[in-house]
Amino acid sequence: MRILLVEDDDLTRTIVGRCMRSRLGHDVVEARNGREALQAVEQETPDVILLDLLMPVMGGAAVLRQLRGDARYAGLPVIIMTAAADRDTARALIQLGVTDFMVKPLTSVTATRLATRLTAIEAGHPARPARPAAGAAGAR
Amino acid sequence: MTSSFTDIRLDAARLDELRELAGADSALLGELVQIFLDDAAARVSLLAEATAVGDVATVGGLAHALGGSSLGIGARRLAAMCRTIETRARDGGLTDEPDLVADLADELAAVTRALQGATVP
Repeated sequence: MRILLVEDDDLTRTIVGRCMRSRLGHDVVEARNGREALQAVEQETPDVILLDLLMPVMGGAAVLRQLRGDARYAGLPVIIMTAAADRDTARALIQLGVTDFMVKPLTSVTATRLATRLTAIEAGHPARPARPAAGAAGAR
Repeated sequence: MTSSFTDIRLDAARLDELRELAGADSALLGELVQIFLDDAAARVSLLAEATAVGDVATVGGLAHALGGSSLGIGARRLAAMCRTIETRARDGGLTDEPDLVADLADELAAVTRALQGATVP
């Protein structure tokens, strides 16, 4: 499975990328901001996107909006990575068509949950309604 | 006064978690520490510059970025200090920031020593 990992923070990108590659055996393509992400979507044809919310140049919400406005990528699974998303932010992302949320920083628990989610996506399961991360407060 | 989660300079449990995530990839933790230290030093330096010229947007962005990576490596107190700076910057106030950034640099120096001590094989 080819994953496009979009994250401006080197530390987080390294942790998530290495886990996806070495533990789960996925093919991971990396981008550092939304603009790079949109280019990578065209060139790398990922099966799923792990997308940071707040990034320089172009943030995750703008990327998601652009993807969902393009018929080619309207159904492309997008998982937002966030330290926390407040209710309004989460609601806006759900309305934009986010597939799911992953809480940062990555832990063994969230890594397992993410692996399960990716397996379901790989198996072609339809996206279930996304819900905001539990206990979240303050967009990040 | 009871200590809070954000009083923790270096969260040993987070380092254990990173070791667990690394699994057989024994070099990963050392790489993560080095990435964090390099990025953090650069960001604190840029924060000082942005604060000096009153560039609120840059201060907020840098504090947000440093706060996120601090949380990722387990530097709880540093993350909390970044959150304070980010909040004040986003609220448009920079009056206390020179002191806060100096405190941030001191805390990063302490975190650096703690990380080096905790991750030496």
